[in-house]
Amino acid sequence: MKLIRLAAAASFFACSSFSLASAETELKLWNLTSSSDAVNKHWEEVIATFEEAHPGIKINYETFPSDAYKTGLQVALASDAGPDIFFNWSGEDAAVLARNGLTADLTEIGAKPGMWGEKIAPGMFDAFTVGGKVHGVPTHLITKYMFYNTSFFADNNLSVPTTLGELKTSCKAIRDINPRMSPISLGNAEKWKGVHYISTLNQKIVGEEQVAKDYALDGNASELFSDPGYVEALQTLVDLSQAGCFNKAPNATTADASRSLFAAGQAAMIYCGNWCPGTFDSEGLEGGYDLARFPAAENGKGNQDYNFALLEGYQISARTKNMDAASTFVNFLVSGETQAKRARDFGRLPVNASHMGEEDGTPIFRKIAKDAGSYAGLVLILDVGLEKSVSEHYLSIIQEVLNETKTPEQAMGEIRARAQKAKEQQG
Amino acid sequence: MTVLLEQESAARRATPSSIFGTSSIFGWFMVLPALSLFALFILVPFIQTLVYSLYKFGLTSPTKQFVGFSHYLEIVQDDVFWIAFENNIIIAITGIILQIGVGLLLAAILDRGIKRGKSVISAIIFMPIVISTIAIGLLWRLVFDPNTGMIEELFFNMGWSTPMRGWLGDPDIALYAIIFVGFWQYTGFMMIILLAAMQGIPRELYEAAKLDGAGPILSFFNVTLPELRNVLIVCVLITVISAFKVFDLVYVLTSGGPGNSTQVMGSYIVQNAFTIGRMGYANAVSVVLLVIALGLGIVQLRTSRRDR
Repeated sequence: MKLIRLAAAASFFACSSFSLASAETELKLWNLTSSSDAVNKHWEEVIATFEEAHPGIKINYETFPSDAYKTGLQVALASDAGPDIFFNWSGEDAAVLARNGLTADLTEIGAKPGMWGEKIAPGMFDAFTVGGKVHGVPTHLITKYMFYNTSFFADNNLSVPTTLGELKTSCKAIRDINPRMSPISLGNAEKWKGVHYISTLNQKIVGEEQVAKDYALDGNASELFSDPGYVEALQTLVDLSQAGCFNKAPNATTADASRSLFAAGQAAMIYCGNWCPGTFDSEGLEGGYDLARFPAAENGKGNQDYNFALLEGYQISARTKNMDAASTFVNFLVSGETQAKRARDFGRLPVNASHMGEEDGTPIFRKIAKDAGSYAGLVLILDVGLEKSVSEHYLSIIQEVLNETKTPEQAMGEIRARAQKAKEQQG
Repeated sequence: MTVLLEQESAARRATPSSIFGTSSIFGWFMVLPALSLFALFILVPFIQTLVYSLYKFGLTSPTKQFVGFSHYLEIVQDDVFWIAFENNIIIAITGIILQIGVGLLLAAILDRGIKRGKSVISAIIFMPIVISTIAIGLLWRLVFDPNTGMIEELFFNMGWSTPMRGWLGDPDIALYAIIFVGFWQYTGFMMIILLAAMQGIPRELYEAAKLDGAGPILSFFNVTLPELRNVLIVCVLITVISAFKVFDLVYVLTSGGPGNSTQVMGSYIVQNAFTIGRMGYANAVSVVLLVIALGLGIVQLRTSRRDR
């Protein structure tokens, strides 16, 4: 009798726990930590709106700092503790997870009626496509511009440089006006700011086709990175440094500190992303800035209308047990309303601008959004597109070139050797 | 006779039958939890690391490719590994000289030279050790900032020049800037250990030395130092092991840069494992690091036993 009671109780609890589990599907969503109140508030509101519209789905939102994110994500995805949906950069970061079978193939789901396939231009998915299969949904574009201090330029009758030659001349002019004013603020302590310069210069000087081939380690191993334009790109960075363009000790200055220098009016220009205006405004510049494209390389082989940009988006774990709910949420992220809200709340360029009004967003955001339509193409970012052992060496070597402890020729000799070794290991 | 009895008893203790005999079962039972934990957290991961070092695989690779000892051969030819190794050695040597040397000096001053406010001064010097290393790194990053940092301002106002590439941006200076921060953080810890040991030295020894005509300096070299010998060995061991384990301070202050000039073995392992995705190679470097640390520990213990 006792046994029967126990069995009855056990089945009751089993049934009740089953009914509880089936009442609500929980999804774990991972994202980068942001210090911006606007970004955090945006996510709170987006999740609340989604949960209200989908009462059976609960989103557990977790964020991590960007350094820890990539590592933590890889480890978690290989276990059962990983997220169902997670933010990722397009390119190699997303591709490596797809190649290792950690992300879901979203090709068929996206093609269904009402899903993201109908909301985003087909070409946008290329950045998340591996082996012909779509492994992520792009949500927005990040891009970089040369921001400049409008009042400083106006007060001193300076014109915005449009070529690298003009940029060097501007640097000298700014130093003559105020020796303590840095013409360009550069913080390369974490190594990625320098790589953004070189990614842009490589495309402009070497040309996009050759760059794409070399970054993919495509072709004959002995010819990889042998274009003299790569040396010229590094030499351009040295020339800018020698022309007094940068603040003191860029390799010892953090990216955050470099943004603060510009925001505090101690630097006339900065090569910064479309996420930077928020910092400029909150740290005192309050709209006293404008932007221009990175100066063109006069004799460069690349299309000078390319611009530095990267698609970012969301992937779904191959281990998720709630594929329908997860894809519903990702589809919600690329809906016209959510995309317009994202643009309004924190100035990211949406991949689906169907609900954007002409007056939505700040004037700077609208300027970037308008300009983005005229990009001839996107600059391939070195540490996103290139094999990791080579790109890590490139990151370090840019610091050494900037410090002038290695010549551009020596640096490229090392990069060539690394690239050849990486190609051999790939087989 | 006593010697013979001791030898016999030792021989009996060492026989396999007594080790595995009934009388020892209780002993084994008592150490079983500790042994299990040791096996689980030290032995198994070590064997796993050793095995993984023979394979090529990434953090999320579904398969592993056996490559034998090729990672170890690669280490020998890897310039960055040798830079990292050299940096660890420099950190260890300077740590012994600065942290233990200055710690000893401060402990001696507090023990014999200062009459009032000892606790307050010790607490102030000891304080950095209780702060998280990451927080210390971030704090010193701000202090070393080449454009707005406190040191830059101080030097500028004094009319002195600072390194053009910055304290953390110059490959010839950056490592010593990290060493300085380590010195700032750990000297208080060494001082407290040595001060505690100094306070345990019988005062009669100093009185006897004084009667023999020894002044404070002679007393320090002839009484204090010999009495601190064992504690100093422990301090050196702690400093050397910490020097080979260092990672967080380097990661926050320089990320191993500029170039690879401040790379240490810890940061190089992390870079290979998690950034580049060469888990097998990172495991091989870890094994080498373990062998070096083990070797140094054994040499140090043997030296201390021989001198005893």
